[in-house]
Amino acid sequence: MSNETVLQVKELKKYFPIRKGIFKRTVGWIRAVDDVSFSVSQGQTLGLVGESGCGKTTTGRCILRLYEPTAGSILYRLDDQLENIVEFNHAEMKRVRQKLQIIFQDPFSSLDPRMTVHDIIAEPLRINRIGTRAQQSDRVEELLDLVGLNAAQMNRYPHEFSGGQRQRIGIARALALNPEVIVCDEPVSALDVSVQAQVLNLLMDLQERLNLAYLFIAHDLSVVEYISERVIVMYLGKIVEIADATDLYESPRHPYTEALLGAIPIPDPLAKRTRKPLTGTVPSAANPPSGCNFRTRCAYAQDVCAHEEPPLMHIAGDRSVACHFADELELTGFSRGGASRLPVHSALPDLTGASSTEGSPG
Amino acid sequence: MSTRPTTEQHDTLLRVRGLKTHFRTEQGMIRAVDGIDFEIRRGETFGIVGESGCGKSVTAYSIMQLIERPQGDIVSGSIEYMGEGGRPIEIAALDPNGPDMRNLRGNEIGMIFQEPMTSLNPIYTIGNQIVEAIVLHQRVSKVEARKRAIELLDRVGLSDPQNQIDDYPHQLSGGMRQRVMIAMALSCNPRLLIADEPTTALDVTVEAQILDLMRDLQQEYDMSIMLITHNLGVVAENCDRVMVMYLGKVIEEGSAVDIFYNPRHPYTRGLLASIPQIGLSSRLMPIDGAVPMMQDIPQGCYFAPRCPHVMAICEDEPPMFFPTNAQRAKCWLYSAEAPQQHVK
Amino acid sequence: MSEAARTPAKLAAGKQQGLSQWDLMYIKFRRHRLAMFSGVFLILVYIVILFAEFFSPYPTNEKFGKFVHTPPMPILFWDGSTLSRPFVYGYKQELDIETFQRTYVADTTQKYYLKFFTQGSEYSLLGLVTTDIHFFGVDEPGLIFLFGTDRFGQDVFSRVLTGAQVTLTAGMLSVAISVVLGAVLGTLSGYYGGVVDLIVQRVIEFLSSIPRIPLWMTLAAVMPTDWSSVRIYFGIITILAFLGWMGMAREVRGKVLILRSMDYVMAAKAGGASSAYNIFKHMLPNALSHIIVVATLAVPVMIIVETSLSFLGFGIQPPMTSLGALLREAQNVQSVVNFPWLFSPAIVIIVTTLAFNFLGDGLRDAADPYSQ
Repeated sequence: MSNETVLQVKELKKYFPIRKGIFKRTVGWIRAVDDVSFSVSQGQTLGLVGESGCGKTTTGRCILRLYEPTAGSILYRLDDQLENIVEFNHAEMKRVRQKLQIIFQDPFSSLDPRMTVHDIIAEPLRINRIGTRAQQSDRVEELLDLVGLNAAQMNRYPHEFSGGQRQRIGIARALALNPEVIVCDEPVSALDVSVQAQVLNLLMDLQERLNLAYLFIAHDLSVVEYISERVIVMYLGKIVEIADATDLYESPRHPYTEALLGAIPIPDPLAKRTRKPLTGTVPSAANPPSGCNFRTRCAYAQDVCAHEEPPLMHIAGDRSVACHFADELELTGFSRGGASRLPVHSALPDLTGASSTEGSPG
Repeated sequence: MSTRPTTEQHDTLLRVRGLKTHFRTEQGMIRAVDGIDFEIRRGETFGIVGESGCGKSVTAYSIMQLIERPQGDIVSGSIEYMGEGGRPIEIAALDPNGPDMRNLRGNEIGMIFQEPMTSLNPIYTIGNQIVEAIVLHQRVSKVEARKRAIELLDRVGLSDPQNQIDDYPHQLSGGMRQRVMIAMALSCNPRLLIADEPTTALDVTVEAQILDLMRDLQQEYDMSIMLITHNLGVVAENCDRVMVMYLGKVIEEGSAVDIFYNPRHPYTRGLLASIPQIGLSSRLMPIDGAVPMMQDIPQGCYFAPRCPHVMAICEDEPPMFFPTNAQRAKCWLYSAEAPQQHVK
Repeated sequence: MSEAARTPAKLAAGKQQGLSQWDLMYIKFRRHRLAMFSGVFLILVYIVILFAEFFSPYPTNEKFGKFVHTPPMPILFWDGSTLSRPFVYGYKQELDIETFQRTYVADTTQKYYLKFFTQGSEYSLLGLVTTDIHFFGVDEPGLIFLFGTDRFGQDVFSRVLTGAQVTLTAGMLSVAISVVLGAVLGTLSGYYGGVVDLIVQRVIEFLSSIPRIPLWMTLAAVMPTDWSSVRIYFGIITILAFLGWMGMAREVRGKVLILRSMDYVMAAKAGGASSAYNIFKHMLPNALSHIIVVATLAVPVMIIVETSLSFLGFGIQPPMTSLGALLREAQNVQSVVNFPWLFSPAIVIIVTTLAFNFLGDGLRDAADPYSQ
């Protein structure tokens, strides 16, 4: 896996106007994304987690310019050099969009109900006038095969498929143009547990085969840990922490990361842990608190937090944190509460031994 | 986790036997709940787990007699509620709109739903709605009811209940609305609280708050909780006993520890192997395929087409429960003859 | 994956395979008996009125001076002794000594058999072919007045057919124009938002706030009196359409607002699609079923409006006639009591409006084929 940067986001901002009255005057701004910078390397998965309203989806859509960024630059690697695509016109964007694709959360609203699976997957090829009709059909077959669907089904309509299959169709469409980077916007959160695992494994297999880079947006921290090498935590439009996944989960440096990790329900009835639950709720992005965004819910907040906004600072290793006390706080990482791993991940025992007592808790 | 005395007669609060709830649709009969048995004991948290369409919510709606008629109906089975006087009430035999059922619904069994926005009426203040619930079931004046409502809102963790009681639902965040729903459900001290995916729509930090609150209130009010969820982490952290459902049937039941540490049914195993667990880097082992549509349900074991251990008998005969102690699983693998069966 | 491997067999066993959204809508619509029946009925009605001259036995303005206010003639199969092919009796006049009114009684000695594809007066069919074949009639000297005659001795049945031709086509055409206007403005308003949306919405609000009937009357009265009746006909259609597109535009805008944020539109955009592509490939086709529903429910409204205008004398002018104009004949109490058959145009209006509403209801249910 090469470490070459394919996508770099610099000081990205997206403010949505709040309009009121019959003449829709702008009375304020929702700072959905406020000064966000990060980069994605080829073949790498960068996880982006946060609670609803933290700006993770907006960030993903700005990168594809589905929303126009308010400020900042989005650099994409074209012919071995990074170019700022924010200034690209429609024709230039078309070239970028072949390399930069997206997978959506909702497997129902992401496929046009009137189109056959073939037409849905061939749409990007048709729009970009790639290949003859016959070549497009061959490509569709190839893609269906790649995502584990039967090519014989390509003349059916989306409503005849289950949620997991529809998500595979969405993935095939995203792959049609041979992209390098795919923004995965909560791709498994609408799926059932068993199907979710299938899609996660498929995404990982595809990444290995096609050397894809993913920006994997999700609210489920366990899913993000499973698929990502690096993880960004966002809160109220800002990045609070970026780190390698293992570091972040084992030793968080931001109080919000700690709180998130502490809130994950552990699928283990014997896990014992002391929780420090967050109080309160996320403030409005239209009217964020002064100083540090998180201070209103932070257990470690001090006076300085209300006055000064902590910058995202590079600290030891390859990680950055936006907290005044990143170096002083002793934060606890995710722990399974002492319990050993569940036996289900081990080889299946002899199921037929009805009286077996394997895996009994100690 | 409590280690309560096992099945003693007086200990049971709700006993469901052979419950079948079916729906007529254009595609034919949907057997949403198809002959399930279980019981909920006093003071325990009983979890129902399963993927979408397994019938877990319909089970809750059946107990509350909130099944949408005439498309849906409780076809057979009994739902016995052991009330205060000791005389069991047969819920399935009550008129869904009759006074007995209405009385049971608020006073004895409370319910909270997945989507707190749609379960509160947007045109009334939250105070109005709680007061109404109290006045409906208890002989108290409106003033008294309002006092009680403020106490409840305070108890469920609203920061300024005196003023927030006059807020409209849209003025509150999702987590706050779920707290209000809980306050409403608790307003008449129910013995059983049915929580249908109470935290699915909430963020993880808020989810933790709500679940903590529910645990505390359970102690305080000495209630039983029936917790319906698809999140195995939530089940593990909150439930004493767990029942796993698949396509309208119970396929495994046991204590939470048994279910997580010694799952017997291949489906339960598959579910547990499908969830990413932090710190375990091994590849997920998902269950093959997807839940079949109701109209193409196989005739033998419903899980047979997806089961890695399928045997010849599984495709022809639906399995029964093979109990081992308090845990039971509906799978042919546990029949005494299983070793002689040809594993496919 | 075995999920994929199993699926073809699974789908082959299922009932709905390879069914497009339109197929599903049709299946759902067909279950709506009343709507289905109304649809077929309306198709028949429109066929009949399109060829009104062919289906009516007499020209609209032919006056039978000796037969003023004759009651409808029933078609009979039984002449008192034997069953026979359909026929009508002729009328003879009698004078009521007490009221001094002429009354008509069936003359059983004159028996005229109903004939199909008979020759009658000449007319041009749809302005294309000149012919004198009529769908039905009776041999001379017999006459057939299925709905009776009016005060000039004109055949009400023939007049209702031509009146319906004008009213029902005017309803249909004005809706067609307002659909085009409403769809274009609604799409622009919903898709581009901003200033375009602001202007379109304010214009709609302004137009909707003007009291309808006075505005229609004013507009209709502005039409020059020396216009030919055909020009007036199209003038009326324009007026109806001009004031009818607002509801349509709002409906389309709402739908476009929803569709605009659909992920499949986003996906096409991410694939490099232009706005025009998204509008024509994704949004309009998906909005189409809703447009059809709204349009269907708008037709009866237009029919009623045209009828009202003509009834008040501001609409269609002679020699053209419409259902509303025909109803003017039945304005006074005397006609209500003595000549109830003059109300037959009202029955046509009621039946067709009801049929349109039933059809619209059925289409509305079918337009969302995924709901149960």
